[in-house]
Amino acid sequence: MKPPTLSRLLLGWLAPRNLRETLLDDLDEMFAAKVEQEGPRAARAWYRRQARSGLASLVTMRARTAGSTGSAPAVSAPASGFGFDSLIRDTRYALRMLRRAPAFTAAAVLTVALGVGATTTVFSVVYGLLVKPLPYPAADRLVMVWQDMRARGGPATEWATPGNFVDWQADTSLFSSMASIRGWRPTLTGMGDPESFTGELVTQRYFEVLGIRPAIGRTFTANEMLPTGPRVVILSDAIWRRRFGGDPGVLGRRVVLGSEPHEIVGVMPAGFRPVIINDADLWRPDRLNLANPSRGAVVLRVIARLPSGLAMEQAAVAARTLGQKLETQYPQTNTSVAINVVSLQEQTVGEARPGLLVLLGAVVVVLLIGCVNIANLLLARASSRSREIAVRTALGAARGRVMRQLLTESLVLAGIGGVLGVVLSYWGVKGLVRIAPAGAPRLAEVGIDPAVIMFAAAVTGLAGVLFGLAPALHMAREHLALALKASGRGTAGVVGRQTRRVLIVAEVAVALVLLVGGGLLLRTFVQLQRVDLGFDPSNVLVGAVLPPPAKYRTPEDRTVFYDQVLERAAALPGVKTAAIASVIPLAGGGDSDMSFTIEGAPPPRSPEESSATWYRLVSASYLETFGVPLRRGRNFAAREAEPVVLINETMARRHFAGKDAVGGRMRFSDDGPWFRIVGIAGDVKGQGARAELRGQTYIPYWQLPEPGVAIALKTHGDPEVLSAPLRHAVREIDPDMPVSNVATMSSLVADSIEEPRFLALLVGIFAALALLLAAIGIYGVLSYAVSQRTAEIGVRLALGAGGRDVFSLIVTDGLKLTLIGVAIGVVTSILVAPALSTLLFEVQPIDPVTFVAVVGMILAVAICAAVIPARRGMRVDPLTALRTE
Amino acid sequence: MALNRIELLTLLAILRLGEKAYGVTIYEEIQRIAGSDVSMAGVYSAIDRLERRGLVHAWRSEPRPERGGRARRHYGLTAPGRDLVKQERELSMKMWRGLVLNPGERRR
Repeated sequence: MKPPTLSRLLLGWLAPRNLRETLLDDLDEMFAAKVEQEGPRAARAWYRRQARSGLASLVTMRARTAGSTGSAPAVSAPASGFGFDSLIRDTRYALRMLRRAPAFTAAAVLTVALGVGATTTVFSVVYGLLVKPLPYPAADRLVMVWQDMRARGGPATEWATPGNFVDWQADTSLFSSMASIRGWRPTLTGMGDPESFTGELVTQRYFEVLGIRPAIGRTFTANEMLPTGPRVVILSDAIWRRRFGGDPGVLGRRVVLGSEPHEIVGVMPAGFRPVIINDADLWRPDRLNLANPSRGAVVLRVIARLPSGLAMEQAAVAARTLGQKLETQYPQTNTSVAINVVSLQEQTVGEARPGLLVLLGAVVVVLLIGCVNIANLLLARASSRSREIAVRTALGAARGRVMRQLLTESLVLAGIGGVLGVVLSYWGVKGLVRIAPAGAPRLAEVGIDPAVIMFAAAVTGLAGVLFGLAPALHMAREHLALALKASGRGTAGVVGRQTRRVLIVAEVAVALVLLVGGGLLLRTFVQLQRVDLGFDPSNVLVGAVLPPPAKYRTPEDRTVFYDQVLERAAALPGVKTAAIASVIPLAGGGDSDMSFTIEGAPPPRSPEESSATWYRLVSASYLETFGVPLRRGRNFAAREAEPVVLINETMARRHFAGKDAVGGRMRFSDDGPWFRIVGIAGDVKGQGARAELRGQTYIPYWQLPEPGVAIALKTHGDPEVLSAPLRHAVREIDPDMPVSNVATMSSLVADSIEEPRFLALLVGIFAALALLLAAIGIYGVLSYAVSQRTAEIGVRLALGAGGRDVFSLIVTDGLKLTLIGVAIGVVTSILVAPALSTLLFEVQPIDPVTFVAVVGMILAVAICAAVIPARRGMRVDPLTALRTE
Repeated sequence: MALNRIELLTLLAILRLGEKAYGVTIYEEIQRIAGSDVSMAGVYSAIDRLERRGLVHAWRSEPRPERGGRARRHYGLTAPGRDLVKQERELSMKMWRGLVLNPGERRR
């Protein structure tokens, strides 16, 4: 029985030489005794513990030992070149060297800290969103299941009909468990102020699919899933603590939600993250009639768990087969409806991926440029240290030994910067999460965790090697005799001069690529802002009211309620017009769609040809309140009794090509009433500037009153001040009725382009940083060149050159480097930019405006950076310059 | 300069063990009496410091009689080491004298 090899090696490596054998012998002896008494397993664990807890003692002991010798490492290089002793000595020596050059050290450490800090910050977001598994057991097997309507010209991820849900769920070889989800917006009453909540209506296996059980209480029973079942609810941990004081006795209590008493049967654990509806706080059974499910309306979002051993690709194949089977089984409803299985991770964060990867790329580029600058600084220092190195070499230090000493210096530098960087990234992550677009997924899970620290350590190490390698190689190649012979200044300039110039070219090229990326994203953001959304968002306040169906049972009840809300809201002082609508542009909720037929049009030959329209229930004041122009015909009359609708221009163009839509009639089911089209409204981009326009129908709310609408007020002045009066007015009609999601329309417009703004802002910041670093690099190289060429300049001046000639000599030198860098950068950008195209809007990846502007900016900055050293060169006094020579 | 806890424990353990004091026995003695969870390396680190301060001296035993047995490194207290232990003891006793931790205790 032997002690654990690794632990033994580590202990041996760390122990001071004079103690090494004694310590290992003693430990072996005790290990043998432990094996006898407690068995090999316990003995090995004990040995590992010894190695672990002894580490710190050994390291401090070694540091003490190394300190007592106190000589420069190169001279007293020990025979064992890679021992721990020499590492400690190198580190101590490096620290001493760095302390001796505080300005250089501060500049380099700060550069590394900023670079590593920014990189770590962005990586922690990338990791938290894209890499880290979702917080459910075996999360890689969780999927969302959609109706794929692409064959019908519909979306690839359409919600599911209850009928399809039942049939999918039955295929247990494909889905080991499945659940459906619908949104729920109940109002809690009878406990102080009424408060509206977001919740989820779920089917029985919801918690089983996610693999998370309530922390206290139970999940739902089969009986509670029946349409006639008892009313029960499960609370989130947050609500349980906030509204119920975290009382475990809450189980069995009844609370009034949406005017119906519900018994609390469970509380979810604190870390539970609801799926799909991220801010859900309540769950109750969705009492669907699954015995006789509807196959018409798409109302369910479906999650499922794949059986272990079934890969995503296999699942996709099986889903195709199942889809085809259902098509033949239900030709009426399922023709051309496929099944789309998407992993939950992809569904949650897939959209954020391209933007995040661009950010990560940008920040790595900034780090690289920072490394180049430090390499330049180190090369400059190398010149002044070449004598020191030469002396050490002459005294017998091996070339490899010197290189290692220099690399240790860069690594120590990087290490200090890296630690600072991680500290910075702690705030960076907080700041980033705060300014991130609202509603971005998984942000709460982003933080500095061990994987992120490991990443930061790796990046730091790489950076250290990267900027340390060039100077180390150069120094080792230095000609010993030359350096010793020369006066410190003479040959020193040769060290890495060419390398430094190449580094500057690379720096300019990379900064240009980043600037082009930032420019394109900025242009995209500007274009998005310029898009005419088709309505006027100024001075509009919106909010939602959700009359619970249990209290407002009939359509008439709801119509009466909406009438009252409208009347009161319009009468508020400062209100120009008030409107209600089932959906508000840009408010996040999507319109529902209905299929329709137009009177006189040939009936569709197949289901694929049947057309669908978004529909929205509105009051007659809707168009005026939102400033949507009426293109033709007339608006509704108040309380017009005959069934009438307005349609948008897209709908008129698509379905009434060449004919006048006004006066035509349409209906939404085969036996429903005909609605007369009385007018055509302007198109509204209600889903955001990038979304495609679709046919839209406006229906008077009193003809089809649905539960849940939004109120909108067009005001004379600042709309914000009306939020309290609005709440008050609604409360007067129904004291249990809150107004939720109150916002101004202009803030919703701003939110809708929040993501591109965020991306453009961050990439812009990184690009500016890159440009600044490149400028510093150019400045550094040129001013160093000037100081090296003082004698030469002096000669030129003495021979009759004017200050102007010297000036242009140096500026031209800088410009030459910049221009080579620009040429390389432009070519690279042309190759790289198309990768951005999914993020761009109405901007070509190779956008001449952006390219010209960026090149101009780089040249301007480069000239500025060159002017300062050039002026210094101009002012060289030939006499002084020549005398020093 | 005062001793830290592990240094004091090591010093006392060496004193108690006398001739038998070497790495393993010192470690076990501390473990047995103080019950504190130290590591072997920690003990050696303390010995190293004590040795540097001249409180402890090391000597080599005869090679162990077994096959391949090596000489052990044994430790003993130097004169200053013994003095320091004495001082520590007196200081400690002075500080304890007349001190009552629990006022109820005296009358019992």
